[in-house]
Amino acid sequence: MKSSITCLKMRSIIFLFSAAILLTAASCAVRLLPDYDASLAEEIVEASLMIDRFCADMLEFSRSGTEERAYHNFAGAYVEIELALRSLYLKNSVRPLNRHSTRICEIALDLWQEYRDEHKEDGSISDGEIIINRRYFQDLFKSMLAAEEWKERAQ
Amino acid sequence: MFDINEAVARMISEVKKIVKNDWKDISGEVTDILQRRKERLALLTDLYIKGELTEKRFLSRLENEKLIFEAEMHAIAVMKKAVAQKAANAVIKVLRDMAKAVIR
Repeated sequence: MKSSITCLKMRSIIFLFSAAILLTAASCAVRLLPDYDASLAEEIVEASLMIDRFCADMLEFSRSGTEERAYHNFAGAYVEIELALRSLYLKNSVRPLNRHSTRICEIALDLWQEYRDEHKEDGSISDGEIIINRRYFQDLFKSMLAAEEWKERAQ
Repeated sequence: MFDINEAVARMISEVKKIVKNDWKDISGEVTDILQRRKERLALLTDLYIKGELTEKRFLSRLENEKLIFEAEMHAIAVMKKAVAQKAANAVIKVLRDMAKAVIR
């Protein structure tokens, strides 16, 4: 009986000692993700709208195979959107514990450059290409935004 | 007196609560992702059949599809980490609160 009480006491002491260590460490909580960044989430939405507007304008105000659809008419917008995507990539890549969001941004940037180069090389772009490119970017931005918003839920 | 069994029971209960609530949302996200993938592939095939995409572009977009899906899997990875982080911190909080109560 006496030995079981001693054993219980010992367990409690060991546990409290562990708890004390944990309490000291508790100030640095478990972190698997960076903190949520509301301004970055806003920037993702803005970049998404830029691409959506770019595609909608192309489909609405120019016809495939005509001079209106020539690359040089859209070169400025391509550069502007590339800068927005590059900014997202850079801001994500410098945050610690952020490899997933960084990779999503990298994919978006790579695809944007690929689609720009295609338009440049071909001189024009078909409605079909615009429609599928637009859809791909809509879904990419959904992933980017979801990843950012779940960081808020982790806190 | 510190009761380790009670502490562990509370920790488990906290983790269960978190995982139960968040898992439902993650599961919903996964369903949405699979649905979006289905829609993208249907759109891609439709555009190709209608002749709005050349074979070269169709094949290149099919390759790109893998990257979009990869991005979606990265988003799911973030969600899973968010749940794990929340659960781990909830466990620490239970332990901290209980140990504090004993020390007082």
